[in-house]
Amino acid sequence: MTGWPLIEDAPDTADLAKCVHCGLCVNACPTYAITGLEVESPRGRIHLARAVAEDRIPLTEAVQGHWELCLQCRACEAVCPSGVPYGRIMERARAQLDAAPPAKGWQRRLRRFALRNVVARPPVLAAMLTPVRWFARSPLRGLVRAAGVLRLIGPLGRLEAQLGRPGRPFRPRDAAGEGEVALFTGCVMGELFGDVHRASMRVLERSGADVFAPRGQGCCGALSAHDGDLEQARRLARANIAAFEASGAEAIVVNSAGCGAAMKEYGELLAEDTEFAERAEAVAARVVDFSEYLAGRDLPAGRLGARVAYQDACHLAHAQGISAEPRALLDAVEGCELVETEGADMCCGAAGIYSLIQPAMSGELRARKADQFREHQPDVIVTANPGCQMQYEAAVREAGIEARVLHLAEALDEALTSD
Amino acid sequence: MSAELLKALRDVVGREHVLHKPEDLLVYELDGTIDRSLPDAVVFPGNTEEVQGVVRACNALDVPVTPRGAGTGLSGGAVPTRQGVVLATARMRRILDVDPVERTATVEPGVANIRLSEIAAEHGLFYAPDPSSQKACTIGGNVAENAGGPHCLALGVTTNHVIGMEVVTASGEVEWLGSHGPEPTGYDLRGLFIGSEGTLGIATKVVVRLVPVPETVVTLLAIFDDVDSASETVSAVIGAGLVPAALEMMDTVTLQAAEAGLRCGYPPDAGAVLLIELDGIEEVVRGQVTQARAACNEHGATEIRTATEPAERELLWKGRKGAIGALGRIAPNYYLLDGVVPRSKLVETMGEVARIGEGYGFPVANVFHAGDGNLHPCLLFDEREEGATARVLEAGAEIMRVCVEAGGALTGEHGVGFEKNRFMAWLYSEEDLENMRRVRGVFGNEGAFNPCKVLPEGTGCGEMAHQKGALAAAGPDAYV
Amino acid sequence: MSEAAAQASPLVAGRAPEAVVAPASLDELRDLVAERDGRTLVPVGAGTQLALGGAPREPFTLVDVCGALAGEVEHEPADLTAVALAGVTLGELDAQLAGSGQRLPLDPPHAERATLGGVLAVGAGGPLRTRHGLPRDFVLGMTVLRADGELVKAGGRVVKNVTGYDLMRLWCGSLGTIGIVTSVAVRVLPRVETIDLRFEVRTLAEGQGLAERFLRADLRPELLDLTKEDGRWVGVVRLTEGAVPKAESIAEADLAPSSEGDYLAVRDLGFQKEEMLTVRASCPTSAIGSTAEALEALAPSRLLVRPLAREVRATWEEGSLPEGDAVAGAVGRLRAGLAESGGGLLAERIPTELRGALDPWGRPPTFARMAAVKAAFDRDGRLNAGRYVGGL
Repeated sequence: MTGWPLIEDAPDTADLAKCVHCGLCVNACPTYAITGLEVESPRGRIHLARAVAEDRIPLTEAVQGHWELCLQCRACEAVCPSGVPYGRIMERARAQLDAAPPAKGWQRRLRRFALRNVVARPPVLAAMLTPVRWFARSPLRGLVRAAGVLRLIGPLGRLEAQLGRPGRPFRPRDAAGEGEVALFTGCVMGELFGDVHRASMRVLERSGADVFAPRGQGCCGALSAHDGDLEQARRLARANIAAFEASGAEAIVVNSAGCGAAMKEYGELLAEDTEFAERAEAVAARVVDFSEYLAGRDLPAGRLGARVAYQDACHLAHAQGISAEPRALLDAVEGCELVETEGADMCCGAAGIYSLIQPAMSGELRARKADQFREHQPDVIVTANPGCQMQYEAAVREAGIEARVLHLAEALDEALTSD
Repeated sequence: MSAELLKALRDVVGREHVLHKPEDLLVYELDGTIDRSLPDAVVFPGNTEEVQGVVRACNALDVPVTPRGAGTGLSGGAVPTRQGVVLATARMRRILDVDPVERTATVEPGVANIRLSEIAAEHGLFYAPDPSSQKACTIGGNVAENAGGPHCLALGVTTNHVIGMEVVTASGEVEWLGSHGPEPTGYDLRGLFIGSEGTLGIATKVVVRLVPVPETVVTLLAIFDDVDSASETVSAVIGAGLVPAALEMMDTVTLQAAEAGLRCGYPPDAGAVLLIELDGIEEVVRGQVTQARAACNEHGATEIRTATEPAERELLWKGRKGAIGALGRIAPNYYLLDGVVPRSKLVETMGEVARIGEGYGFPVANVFHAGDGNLHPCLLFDEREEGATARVLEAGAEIMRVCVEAGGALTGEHGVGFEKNRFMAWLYSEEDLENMRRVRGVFGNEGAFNPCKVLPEGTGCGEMAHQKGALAAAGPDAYV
Repeated sequence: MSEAAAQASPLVAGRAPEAVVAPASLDELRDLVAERDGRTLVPVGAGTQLALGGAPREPFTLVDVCGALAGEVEHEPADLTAVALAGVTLGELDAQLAGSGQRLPLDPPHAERATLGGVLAVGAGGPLRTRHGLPRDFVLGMTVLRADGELVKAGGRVVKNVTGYDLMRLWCGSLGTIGIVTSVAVRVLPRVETIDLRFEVRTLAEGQGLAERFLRADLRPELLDLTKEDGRWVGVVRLTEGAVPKAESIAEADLAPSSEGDYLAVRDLGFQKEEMLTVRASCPTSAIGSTAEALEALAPSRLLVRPLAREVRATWEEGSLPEGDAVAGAVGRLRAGLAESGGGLLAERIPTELRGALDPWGRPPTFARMAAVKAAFDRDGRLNAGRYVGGL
C-alpha cells in the first residue's frame, strides 16, 4: 500500500524510517529560516514523503510545492544526528513528481527537455552559450542593463544579473593528454567558466600535479538528478564512468561542488545497475574536490592583499563535508584577510537551476548574503561552485559594493601569479 | 474545522499566516516523541497582540490551543492532543534587546536557544542552559519545559536563567511575570510559569540572564572498562568537593553510535566514558583538573584525554550532543527515556535498567547527565516486529517505575507532557495534583489550553492512547 | 515559639496576638489549621522576621511551629542533598552538613537561629546570594500544610526534576500565606576554603566597577558587599584562595584580611533590632547609583549595596528615623521608578511610629493574579492574612 507513482525510484522506506523527527534539522534549513514553516523544513518534507508512502495522503500539488521549494542544499544532512540521506530522499521524491506531476507538468517537461537535449549535449550547449558569452563581454550589455529591457522578461533579467564576464570556453580537447590527475570539465562550467578551469590547471600544476582533461566526459548529471530525472542522471553517469576509466587517472579533480558531490555518489545512483554498480563505486572513490586535493599537497604560499569572504558551497560543505580545506588554503595566502560572514555556510539560493524556478525564495536568500556583504565589505568573495559564483555576482550588485567574485581556483591562481 | 474558526484566525493574523490544508498540517501532528495528533489549523502570530487575539478567538469558540516552538520536545508537549489550533511562535524570533550592563537579553519566544549565546558572545557573555537540541529548540519552548542540558550541573536550568517574561495567559490576558533584572515583590509567578509545559500560557517576550564566559575551560574525556567504575568516579569527583560545569556519561553502545555517526574521536571499544568539564580562572581550574584526574585514575580510568582548545572541546561535545540521534544509525527505532535518581543510586538503577531491557529483549544505550543523576536510557527496537512498540512502552514504564522507587523522579528535563501524565500518581497524591489544578485555574486554563499535558485528565485525552496504538501499528516510525 | 522569640516581644508587625499556641506534633498542627474558627493563623519559627509585612488581620493566633516541625536531618552526602523538617534551624543544619564537608549556602539575617521553614517563607537571601542566589534556588521538594489542613507536596529529593509544576517557587517567599512549610528537601554544596577580604573605595561607582571586574575576570566572588562608612565605601568580598592573586591585580584597591565580624555586620545589617526602619530596593544595575543616592538623601544610619545581586539596603536606627512624609514620598518615587524594570522596594522593618506612613510591600502590577493565587489556596484568608503584599 503506497502512493508512489514510480515505485522503482521511490524513496526507500529504510531511508525514510531513519528520520526520528527530532527536529534538529529545522534551523539549518534555509527555506525554514525564511518562511518559519515546518512544512518547508526537512522534517516536514520527509514527513510528507512518509505520508505519501503510507498512502495517508495523495501526491498533491501542495506536496509538490513543498518539495519543489527545497534547495537540496543538504544543510540538514550535515546536522542530522541520525544520518538521514535527505538528498537521496528528495531526488527520489522529485522522481515521483516527474513521473506524475500534480501540477506544472509542462514546466517539468520543458526542463527535462532542456536538461536532456541542451545541457547534456556539448555541441548544442556550446552553440547556445556562445552568444551569451559574447553578449556578456560586449558594450551592448551596459546599454541593455541601463535600459532595463531584460527586466521585462523576468528569467532573462535574472540570468543577466548573475553573469560575470566569462572568458574563453574550456573543453576537454584544450587539455587533452594523459596524466595522474584528471580534471572534470562539466557542462555549463566549461562554457561559461573556462577561466576557472584554466586557473585550476595552473594551480594544480604548481602543486606538482600532472593534470589533463579526459575525452568523452560530459555533464555529471546532478541537475537532472536533483530535478527527479534519475534515468537521465544515470545515463550521464555511465558515460562519465566510461570516460574516466579509460583515462587511467588516479584522481579525478572536480572544481564544481555540485558536480563533485554527485560524482562521489555515483555508486549509490547506480547501485541497482548490475553492469555499472562496482565500476561506479570505483570511479566515485577517485573523485576529489579541488581544495581537498590541494590540502594534501605542497603549494607555494602566494600573495593576495585583500579582505576575502569565503562562502561555502552547499554541496561542498554539507554534501562533501569540506569546509576547513578551502579556508586553510586561503589562510595560507600572504596578505589574505579572511572574514567570516554570518551564514557563510547557508545556501545562497543559486542551487543549480533553482534560481530560475523559485526566483522569490532564491532572491530572499541572495538578499541575506547581500546584507552580509554590505556589513563586512569584503574585497573578494570566494566560493567553489559556478552556480554560487553567478548568484554572488548578483548579490554583490544588490549590496552595491565593489567586491570581485572569484572561484577558489582563481583566487589561488592570482595569489600564485603575483608571487 | 469550522469556517467560523478559520475566519476568526485569519482576522487576527492575516490569511497567509494560517495553515489549514491537510498536507500543510501533517508535520504539526508530532514533535520529537511518539505521540501524534493532527491539528485543525496552525497559526503564526507575529506579535503579542496577535497571540492574545488567537487565544481569545479559540477560547470564545471553545477550541483547544497548543503552543509550539520548534517541535523538538521529548514528551509530546507540542502535540495537539485534542486537535484544535496549534499556535506556533516561528514568526516571533526577533532579538529585542541585548544589555551588557544588566547582562540580559530580551527576545521573542521563537528565538533558537543557540542564538542567545551567539548574540551574547560579542559582550563576553553566554546563555548557560544548553539542551542537546539547542541549535533548533526555542527559548519559548525552553521556558515551557524548564529545559536543562549538560552544562546545568553547576549553573542551573532555565528557571535559574530566565528572569522575566511577558506572557499571554490561558485566559488571554497579557502580563509580565518576573522582571528585567531585579527581583519583584510578591509571589514568584515567573518561577511557577517556567516548567508549566505550556499549560498556563504562552511566553511572548523572554528576558534571560547572560553570564560571563569562563576564563579557562578544560574538558576531560576519561575512558573506563565498564559503567560501574565510571559511576564510582562520578561519586568520587563529587566527593572530592568538585562541582564540575558538566559531568556526562556515555556507555559503549552510545559510544559506538556516536563515533560511527559523528567521528569525534571517541574510543568505540570502551565500556564507558565520562566527560568532565571544569571551568574558572586558570589558577583554580589547574588544581581541579588534578583532583578530577586523580579521581578517575583511582577508579580505573584506562586513559584520560584533556582538551583545552575550543576546537578540541567542541569535538568532544559534538559527540555527546548528537549521541542520541546517532543511535538512529545502529537501530531502526529507539525510545528515549528521561528519569532521575539520587546520584548514589546510579549504579543500582543502571543495573535495573539493563535487566529490564534484557527481559524485554531490547538493547539499551545510555547517555546521561551523571552529575545530577539524570538518566537517559534509550531502548533500541524495531517497530516492524509485531508488538515491539507496545512492549517498548511497557519497558519504558517499568524503567520509570524503577526511577521512582529509587527515590527519583519521572523527568529531569524533558517534561511530563502527554507521555508520562498517567505516571504522575506514582509520585503525587490526589491532593498534590489538586494544587496543580488550582494553579491552572489561576491562569484561567479551563482544560482546553494545551490539554492533556502534565495532569492525567481532561475530556478527549483518552483518544490519544487508542490513536497511539493504531499509529504505532501503522507506519514506519521511530521514537525519540 | 523558640526561646529567642519568646523572650522578645510577641508582637507581629506591631500587633499583639490574641493567643500563642505551640502544637507539639505535626498532627496537632494539622488539626489546628483544619479547625475553622475564623481566626487568622500566624505561623512562626524562630521569629527573626516577625516584624516583616503588614499587621495580621485580627483576631489572630501566633502558632509556634518549632515543636511540631523539629526532627532529624536526613543528609545524603553522596547525593549532595538533605531533607529536613521546617523547624530545624540553619545553624543546626549547617552543623550536620559540616560533618561531611558540605553546606547550604544560605545566610539570611540571624542565619544561625532562623528556621529553614521561616527562611523559605520569607525567601530572602543574605550576602551569599551574590554567588548562590536565593533560598528558592536550593529547594528540591517541599511538603506544605495547606490552609484546608491537607498535607501536600511538590518536587522531590533529586537535584534535577521537572515533574509537575514548580510549586516550590510559589511557596518560597509567600510568607506562609498559602501554606505552612513542614519539610524541605534541599540541594547542598561542598564546603570550599574561602578567604574574606576588605577594601576601601572612594565612591560607590568605584565599588561597582571593582565588582564588575571581579565578575568579568571569572573570580566568582561568593559575596561582595559595599557599605558606606564615614564618607567612603568599605567592601567585603569572599573569594577562593586561588582567586586572590588575580583579584589583587585587578582590584585597583588594597585587599586586606577581613574579620568574621565584618561579614556578620553586613549579613545582619538592618535586622539588629525590631524597632528600626530598613528598606531594600531591588533595582537594575544601572539604577543602583541613583537608588542609593535617593535613600542617602534621607540620612540613613547605614547604607549597604550588594552590587552583583542588584540590591540596595538602607537602615535607620531609633533616634535617627526620618520623617514619615519624607520617607513615604521617597519610597513612592523609588517604587514608581523601579516599576518599569520590574524591580521593587520592600520595607523589611518598620518601627511603630512609621507604621501608618508606609506600605511595606508596594503593589506589584501582577497583584490581581497574586490575589487569585491566594484565593485558590486559602479561600478564607486564614493563613497570615493581612501580612503579605496588598494585605493578602
